[in-house]
Amino acid sequence: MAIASLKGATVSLTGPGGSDTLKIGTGNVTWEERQTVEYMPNAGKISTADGGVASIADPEPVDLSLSGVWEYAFTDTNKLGSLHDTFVEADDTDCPPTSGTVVVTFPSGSCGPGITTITFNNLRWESITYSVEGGDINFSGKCVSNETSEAVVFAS
Amino acid sequence: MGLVKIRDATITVGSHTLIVGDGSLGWSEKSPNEYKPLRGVFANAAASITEADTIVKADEEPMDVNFSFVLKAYTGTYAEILAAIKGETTSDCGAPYSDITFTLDSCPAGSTGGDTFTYPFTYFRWENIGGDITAGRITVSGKCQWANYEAMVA
Repeated sequence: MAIASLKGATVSLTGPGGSDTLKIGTGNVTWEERQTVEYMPNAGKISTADGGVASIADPEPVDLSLSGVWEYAFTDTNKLGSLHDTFVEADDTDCPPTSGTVVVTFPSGSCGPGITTITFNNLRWESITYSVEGGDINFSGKCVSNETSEAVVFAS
Repeated sequence: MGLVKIRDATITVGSHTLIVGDGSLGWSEKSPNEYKPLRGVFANAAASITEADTIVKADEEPMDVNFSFVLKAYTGTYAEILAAIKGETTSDCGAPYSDITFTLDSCPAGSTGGDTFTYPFTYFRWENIGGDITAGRITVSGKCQWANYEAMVA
């Protein structure tokens, strides 16, 4: 599992219903990136020199979870209502929901090895809870890689 | 299972050189066997049943490898380092893999000044990758396509 602090970060959400950017006071973003490799021994031997073969199993989505306390939304005076509009209300058909994007922008020098942004592409939400009074937000979903973009992209 | 502290180690992966502040490296080897008793026993001289008849080597399994470290100095960007660990090399043997070498100076018990220890891990394929990004920590687990460490470094 990977984790990054959202202290002072901005989180830009783009979904089927629109987009907005939240300024986060404190919080974390976590994600789980994994793959399964299948090994097929040759006559009981595993190494490549002995003819063993390895292949990647079906790809798995990246689990994303974002939680924190936000300070303000840039474009929506309704505050957390914008998040609801962005992801939830637009998802009203029987088809798989249209994917969105979350971009986390870190304050200069605050994120480990020179990272300025982390982008989560092809994201579909699974759970959103928030407290208007307390400013708490908890968001989870899954994102996938496809032919045009990786699920998780780091920029320095 | 092998376990090595890799504080101040140098890691080379792909075209990148990483200096580690703190971290650990572990691996485990397996020797699976299949147990198939005959007439309820593994060996019985009177019945001419020996363990060679009932216990056989199973298919080899790849070595489990895991490492976690805090980046102190490095070449390239974080994204490039991650890509190198995930594997940029492909061959006839299948999925992309990486070759990762850990080099330590005088760390293991019993070493003397000036000793250098090199731990090369080849045909490594990641299965889980993460870490505390804010702190610059990278945590990786996966497997090397070798049955044991001796075969890998031979």
